[in-house]
Amino acid sequence: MSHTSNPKSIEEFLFVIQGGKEVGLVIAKDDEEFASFAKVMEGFDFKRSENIAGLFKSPKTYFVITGDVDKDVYDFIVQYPTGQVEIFDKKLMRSQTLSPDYKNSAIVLLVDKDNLNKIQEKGFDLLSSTGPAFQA
Amino acid sequence: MTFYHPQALLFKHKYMNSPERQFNALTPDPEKKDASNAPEVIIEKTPIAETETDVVYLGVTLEKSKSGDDQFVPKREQYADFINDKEVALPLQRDIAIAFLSGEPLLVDGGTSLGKTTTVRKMAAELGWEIHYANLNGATDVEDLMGRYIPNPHKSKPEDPEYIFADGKVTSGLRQEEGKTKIVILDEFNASAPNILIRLHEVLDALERGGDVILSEDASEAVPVNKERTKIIALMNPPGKGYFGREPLDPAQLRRWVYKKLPSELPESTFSYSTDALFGAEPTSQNVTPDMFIRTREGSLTPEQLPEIPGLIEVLEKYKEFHKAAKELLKNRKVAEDQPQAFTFDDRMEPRRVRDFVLRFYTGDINETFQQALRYYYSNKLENKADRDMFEELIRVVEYKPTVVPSRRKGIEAGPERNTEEIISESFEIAEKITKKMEQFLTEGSVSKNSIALGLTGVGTAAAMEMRKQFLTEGSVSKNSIALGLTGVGTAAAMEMRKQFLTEGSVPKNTIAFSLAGVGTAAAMEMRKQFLTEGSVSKNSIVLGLTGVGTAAAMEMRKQFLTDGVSKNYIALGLTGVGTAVAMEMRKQFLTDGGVSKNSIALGLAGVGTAAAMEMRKQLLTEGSVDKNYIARSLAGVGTAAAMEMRKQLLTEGSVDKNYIARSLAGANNKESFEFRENNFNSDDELYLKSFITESVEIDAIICRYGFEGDMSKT
Repeated sequence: MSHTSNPKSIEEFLFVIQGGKEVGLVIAKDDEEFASFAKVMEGFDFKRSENIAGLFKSPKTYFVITGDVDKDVYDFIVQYPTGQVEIFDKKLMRSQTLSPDYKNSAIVLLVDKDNLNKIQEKGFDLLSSTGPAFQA
Repeated sequence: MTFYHPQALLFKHKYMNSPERQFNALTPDPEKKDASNAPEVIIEKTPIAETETDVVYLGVTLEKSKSGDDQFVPKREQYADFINDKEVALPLQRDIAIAFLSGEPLLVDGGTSLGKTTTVRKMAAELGWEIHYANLNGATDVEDLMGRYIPNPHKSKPEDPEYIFADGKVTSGLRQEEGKTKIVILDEFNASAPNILIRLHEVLDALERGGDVILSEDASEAVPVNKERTKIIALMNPPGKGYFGREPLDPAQLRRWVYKKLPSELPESTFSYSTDALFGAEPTSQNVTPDMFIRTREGSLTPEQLPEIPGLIEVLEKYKEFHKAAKELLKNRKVAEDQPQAFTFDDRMEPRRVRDFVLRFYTGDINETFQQALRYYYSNKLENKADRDMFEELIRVVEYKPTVVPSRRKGIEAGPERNTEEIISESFEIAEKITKKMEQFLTEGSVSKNSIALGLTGVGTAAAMEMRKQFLTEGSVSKNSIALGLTGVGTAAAMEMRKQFLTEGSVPKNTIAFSLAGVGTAAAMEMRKQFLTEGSVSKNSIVLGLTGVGTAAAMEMRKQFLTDGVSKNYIALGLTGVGTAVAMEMRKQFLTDGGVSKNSIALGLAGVGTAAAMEMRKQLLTEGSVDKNYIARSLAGVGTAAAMEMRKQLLTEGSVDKNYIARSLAGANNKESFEFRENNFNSDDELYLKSFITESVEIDAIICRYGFEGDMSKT
């Protein structure tokens, strides 16, 4: 469940979430802040991932959530704390299972407020499914 | 030389019934591991025990997969810090294990923070079972779950098919594979689209039938399914209660599922414990009480064997009443009032499930098994503690109370097996003999009336009651003596006399509480509860007055006392004469947890001659952690060959006071005990005499266990 933390800065937040058992959530209030957060994350060696499978390819990754977020992303978030993630490729109809390495990794979702609201309204409760959250 | 001291009559209650249980060929004493043809009864000491081949969740054994590692099997190391709390995590695992063992689909409804999915995956990691996960929130495509045709990714030749059928998430969990067991998790079940629910229910029906799932998605391919190998578990967050998009399911759809309601949030005590455990301030596995365990048997009974279970018919009648009452309470919203997810107690499904539970888990005590089934299939649907408590009251009524129960124990009553009529006859005979002896003493004036009143201990015959009344009229005997002499007597007349003493205030309530030892009737339990409500009798006295009472209600009261902080020493002593599996488990738990004198444990074993009790005595002796005199005293009233052997060993070692050995023989008036007397005390008249006179605790044990308890009044 999401706990909106109040670290002094996103830098501090990115440090805090490492080794956590849940996906972190960074909420930007507008495009400008969104770009700024993305830049900071890149600076902290967080690699942007374009798909779910890519989230496991680097110890520190982030994923940009848009309003038409794929259901796979939601499935990933809710499974991540459970010790095993099953990713299902609908095109190939094939499952891939992954075991999160909690100690040595950090995964962050970056979303702006508008998109977050849209997603919540769709019934994908990101705020409850993610762990620590940050907003400036 | 054979010598029957008059006192021996007082303790010659050896053929009396053991009120807690009864056995027949189908239900051998579960405590006797060497009983021929006995199904092996497994009682685990630790909440979750693991062997090379099995994992046992609070007594429910699941077999590990033999297939080895697989990408779908969660990794064990992911769950190294899993917290096994006793309020949520452990009961949940037990109940999931029951569902898996029975092959029943389970629907778990509970808040998101409870770790439902993690718990299932953790169990799968321990068992080496595969997880096939499907989150139904936002899923609209049945084919994702059941499969669809896709362009053939392996097409390399013109004759290769253009399209091939590919399994969906659920279908891959249904396919049978050698050595594999698969769990299909249907997460966020109540956020699913209706068309998906319909399709999934077809799958459930096929699993229940043990037939094929017909894949309409693949030209009606028939996929053989087997509930032994595929387990279905659906998880859902409570509808409403802050969970957006979760609507209550149609109760009619729920009847296919075994429905388990968890709290919406982690209970405060569990939160506190789990937090402490995470920080290392508590162990990661919490101590549990014996009643949380389910006793399992090797293999199942067959339906044909059911009628052989003693008391089944009586229990069934009460179950029918219970079912009706449960439905009525639910219908009138007397229970589950604040649960947004409506459900039913189905007239066909519930009895069938209870029947299958009994087939699977019956180990010799129909009351225990039936009541566990009712907790599993009825109480588990309720969230509110008050609702559960209300059901618990109803469940306790679903029990078989034998009028007269022939004990087949080879304890005190060594000798040829006799039928019930013979036992009743002899019981009366003994009671009559004791009464007559007391009348003789009275006529002769050779024994004080106070002693006679005490000598009537355990005797509830009409003549004995008359004698007591006469003493009261004359005012010739202290009322305390009369009250104490009522120990072990649970007849209506005896209860009436106790009430009279209470009304007059002529006998301390503590004494009355002590005198209830060995009486486990509803009226006696009510009196104890009244004392507790008034606060007029200390809990220590109440628990000592529970001596010899091993009923479910008495065990429940002991557990409550434990929670209330009553000293384990008192509880251990109050278990005197109770040899049920539950009582033995409580003793073991005490030994494991500590905080109790082992001498108290030993003394509390008095009157119990089961194999398990003998084993415990041996363990205490081996550890050298108990005064051997206490072991000797603990043998009171036990006349088995093993007990005789132990006495002999203690005597040979010269490590105990002979007086204790001698007195421990009182009440054990079988052939072996007389041989023992002759071989060891023949030259010592004083010891020989003492071997018929016990100490008070032992007297309690013998009278309560084998004396004229409530059952006598019924006969």
